[in-house]
Amino acid sequence: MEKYFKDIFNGAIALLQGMSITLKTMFGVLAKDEATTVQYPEETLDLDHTFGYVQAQFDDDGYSNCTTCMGCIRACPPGCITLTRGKHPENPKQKIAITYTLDYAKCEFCNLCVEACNDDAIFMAPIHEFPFFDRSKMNVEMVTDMKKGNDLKELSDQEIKDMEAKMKRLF
Amino acid sequence: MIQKFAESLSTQPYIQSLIYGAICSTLILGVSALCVMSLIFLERKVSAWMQSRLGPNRVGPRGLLQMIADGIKLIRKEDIVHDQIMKFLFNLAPCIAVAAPFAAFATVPFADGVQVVDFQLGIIYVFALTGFSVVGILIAGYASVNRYSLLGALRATAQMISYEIPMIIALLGVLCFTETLSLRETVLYQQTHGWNILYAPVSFIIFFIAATAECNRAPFDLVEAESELVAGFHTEYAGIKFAMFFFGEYIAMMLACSLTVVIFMGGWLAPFGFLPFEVGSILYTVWGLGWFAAKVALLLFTMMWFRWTFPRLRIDQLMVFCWKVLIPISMVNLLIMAVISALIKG
Ligand code: SF4
Ligand code: SF4
Repeated sequence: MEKYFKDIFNGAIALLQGMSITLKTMFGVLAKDEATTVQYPEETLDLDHTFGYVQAQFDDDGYSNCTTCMGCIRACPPGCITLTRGKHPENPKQKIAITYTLDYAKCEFCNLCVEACNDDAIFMAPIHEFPFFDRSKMNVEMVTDMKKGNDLKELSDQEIKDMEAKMKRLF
Repeated sequence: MIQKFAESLSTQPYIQSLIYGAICSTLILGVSALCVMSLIFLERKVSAWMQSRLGPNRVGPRGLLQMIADGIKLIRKEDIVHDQIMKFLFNLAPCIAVAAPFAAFATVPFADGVQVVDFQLGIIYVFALTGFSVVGILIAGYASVNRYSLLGALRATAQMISYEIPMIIALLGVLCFTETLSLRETVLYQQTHGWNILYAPVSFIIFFIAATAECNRAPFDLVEAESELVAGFHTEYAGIKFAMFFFGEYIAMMLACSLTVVIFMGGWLAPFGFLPFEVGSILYTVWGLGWFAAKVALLLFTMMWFRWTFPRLRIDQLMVFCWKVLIPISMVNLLIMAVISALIKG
């Protein structure tokens, strides 16, 4: 008998506690603007420490760092990387990628290619909004197109360095 | 006013009452349709706020046009049914689900003199009709020829049968004092004696919980428990028929809150007997309507608050809660109330 009333009493208290929590949340949203919602196209979250799209990296004189070792191609699970090997214009003994094409329709942003690369020729750019409206455009030619200014996103050298530092910390 | 207008149109009493009924039901339908639309919008907003979200805010200023968009979407939707439904019953069910709670509004006193008819048996009439609305759900579940629907409908019936009992018993405790079954007189009693909620708080709590269960609102929404029964009794319904069930559910909710307000919270009366206008004047009616709407809105908000706070009960918990908690407490409450009223009234 005692347990019966105790149960009812405790239950009522628990229900009231729950109701006070929801009410508090509601007033938090209404009065203090505490909603967790991000109004996406207008506001964005600060996501620069997370992975985004694979992007080629260029050294100081504007050439790709890639030595065409094919490590990334072997590492890539869906096989979405293709490249053409050529000679470095200033140093004919050095091999360099003339084209480096990435099929973003297949890429799963797994970062394996970046890990495989010993020459820091590619990295994950912190771009999260990069929609394509046409499948044929998803084959992005990084070395030539990006040099022409069709960059996925303009990144300063400092930004790239910061990012790499952050990513290294993750592994 | 409407009565006089109807009388001016014809001398035949039955034509007068027909005109009167038509005008009143159109008015109630229009107002309740508007209320339901804003309730759905508010429900979405309140649920969002309680979950630390913002809710619909893209369509129109502050998302206000969202309710119109919802309505248009529901009405324009294609009505897809499978070919084994029992057609007549299937189409009848949503009509019953809307008509029953809607008809019960006929005797709810919105303000002094703003009431379609003042039955002597108003309370019994209202409870007969709320009990009838479960028939709509049962028919829907049966005619859908779908296991989930039938399960939902059976749950609705079980729930209805169980929760009607504490509700009525809780009400009986109040009736010991008011000694009337007319809703208008219940309010008038409270005008002289103070609100019923003050001396029957237990009855009020039990009545409100049972009313929430009657409307199949969360945490008692086992009837349409999405995680168990797809959508319960309205799994097979789409488009406007689904919208009618939705409409019926919200009208039932409004009815339950109106009844609670009339029986326990003094209907159109302002708190503390505050009365700035002369009884019977137009301003007094508007003042009363305002208070009635405010109290109903408060209770509706409480129902939404329940819904977005409590998890759904399991079917056995539902039954245990009713038969082992609500019914014994309401019986003891009734006994105490009866003794007190006998002592007071001599
Ligand atoms: S991120 Fe993964 S899938 Fe994309 S190119 Fe690199 S290895 Fe291939
Ligand atoms: S991007 Fe890196 S891993 Fe891939 S071929 Fe060039 S150097 Fe090798």
